[in-house]
Amino acid sequence: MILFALHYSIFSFVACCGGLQIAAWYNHLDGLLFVTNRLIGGLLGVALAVGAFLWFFLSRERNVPDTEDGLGGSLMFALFLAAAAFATVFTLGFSSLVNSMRSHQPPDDVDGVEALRTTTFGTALRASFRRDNRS
Amino acid sequence: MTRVDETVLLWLNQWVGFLPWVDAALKVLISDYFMPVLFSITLLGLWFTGLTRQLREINQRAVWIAASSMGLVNAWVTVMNAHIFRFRPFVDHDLPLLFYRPTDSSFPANPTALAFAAASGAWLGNKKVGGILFALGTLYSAGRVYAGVFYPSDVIAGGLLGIASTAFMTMIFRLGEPIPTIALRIMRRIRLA
Repeated sequence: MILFALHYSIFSFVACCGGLQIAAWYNHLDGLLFVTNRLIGGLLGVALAVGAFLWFFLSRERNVPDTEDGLGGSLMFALFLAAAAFATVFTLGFSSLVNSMRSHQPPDDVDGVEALRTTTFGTALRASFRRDNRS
Repeated sequence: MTRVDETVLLWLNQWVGFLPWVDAALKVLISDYFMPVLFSITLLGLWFTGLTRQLREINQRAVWIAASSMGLVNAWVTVMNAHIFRFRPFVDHDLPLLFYRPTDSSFPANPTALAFAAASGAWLGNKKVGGILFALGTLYSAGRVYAGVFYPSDVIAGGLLGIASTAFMTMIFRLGEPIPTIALRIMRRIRLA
């Protein structure tokens, strides 16, 4: 069951990263992309998500009950939640590093994730804190 | 009612083995992991979706309602299962199965309840995404009946419970104002919403 749980966590993490890349590409949130080219970023998202599903379901039999090798509902939920949170943190951090060269201060009137259209999460977060300190 | 239930179940289940590639695809689609992860990733993506701040906020509220109604309906089904027990179709009928033999109650169908809670929650924010999730939820539910692990009435009850939990959570979120608005404002400040 430990191996199954590990596989499920990796599958959830990679699929969430892919889903976030697709969402970033679709919503023009370039600061969230893993690569500087938008089209390649979108394709990378599709590849990550589809690849995660293919790997998980084709690598071995997954139709197993929790009384054998499978996962119970609550453990499945907890593992997915952890994987999704980790994927979000990883996406925010990694995209900030990759895009750090082209990031610049967002305008003061741009609030929330809208700022990620032109800058990275790290830069946008610093701008938020600076703005709060000023006011 | 039971007769209709059995007739529909037996009619659907008779096709198992007729097209092996359909069975192979359905075994993956109706597994415990495919649809739940697909639905959850869709909700995660919907959080960031919206070309304007207003549209994104509508989607984010819908994601909150969907996620909380999934939790709520899961609790409802757990309580119901403790009081109502219905044997799985394969106990009373000799059926070819596409799935392992679950030992919990057949009524109401928990996977369907979760799928329809997610779909109806998403539909509140984005009709297109909600519609796709409803279609996938219907395929998921029909697939489980086809596979011989649920009666049609189990999945219909599960679906209705899922939608009811979304309606309930929508009301709770409205009554809970301005807490959701304040929470969204804080998340926007740290660039997460």
